[in-house]
Amino acid sequence: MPPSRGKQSEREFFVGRYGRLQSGPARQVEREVLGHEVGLNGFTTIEQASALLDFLELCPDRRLLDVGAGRGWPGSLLADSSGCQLTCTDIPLNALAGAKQVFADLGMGARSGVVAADVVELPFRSATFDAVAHADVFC
Amino acid sequence: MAGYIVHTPAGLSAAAEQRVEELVPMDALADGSPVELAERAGFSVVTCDDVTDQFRTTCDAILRARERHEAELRAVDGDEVYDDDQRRKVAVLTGIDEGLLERSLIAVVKG
Repeated sequence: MPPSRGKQSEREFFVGRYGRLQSGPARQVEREVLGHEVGLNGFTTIEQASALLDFLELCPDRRLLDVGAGRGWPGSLLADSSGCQLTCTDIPLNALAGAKQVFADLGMGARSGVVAADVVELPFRSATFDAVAHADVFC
Repeated sequence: MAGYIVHTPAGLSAAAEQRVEELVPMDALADGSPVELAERAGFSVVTCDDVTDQFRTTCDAILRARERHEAELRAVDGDEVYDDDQRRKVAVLTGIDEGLLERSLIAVVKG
C-alpha cells in the first residue's frame, strides 16, 4: 500500500532532517542534552537507552534488531554494551549510512549491519532475532 | 522487545484528538495506551512505565539548547528549517503540558 500523503511528506521530512543532523551545531545540541552525538532525531538519553538492557537479555551470541533506528540509536549503545550482533532498520538511506559510520567508529562494524525497511514490512524470517529495541517508532 | 513509545493518553475526547492532530504532526504517535497496543499485537506486557516527566525535561532542554545555538543552526540549516524545527518542538512541549502527549517505556514478550 503506498503511503498516505501525510506519511509521505513526513518521510521526506525525515530524509531531509537526517541530512542536516550531522552539522556541528546540531551535534553540539545533542551532546549537551542527550549525552551522545550520533545525529539523532529523538528524545532518548544515554540513561534511557541503557535502561533497555535490563529487559533485552543481550550477550555476544544474541541478535538484536533495532527498528526505526535512524543513525543507529539506541541499538548502537545496546550492542556496544553487550557485545551482541546488531541489525538496524529504517527508511532514510542517509540515516542508515550514518549508522554504519557509527558502528565503524565503535569498532563493531563486523557484527552490525543496516537494512532499509519499513517496520510494517520487515524482510526477515520469523525468529531471526532474539530481541527487538525501538524508540519513538510504534503507533 | 523493549523501547519507548510516544502516545496519547487513553480515552481522549474527539475534541482532544482533533487538538492532537492539529498540534503534533508526528507520524510515529501511538493512539492510546501502549499496553493495549502491545496486547492487540499479541504480546504480553512485562512492564509499562510512564516517562513523560523525563520526556518533557528532554524536549525543553532541546529547545533551550537550540536557542543557545540559534545563530549557528540558522547559518547551517537556514531560517525556514530552524523555525520549523522549533515549532515542532514547541508543539510537542505544548502537547505534553496540555496532557495530550505521554511517553512510556514498554517491555513485552511474545504470547
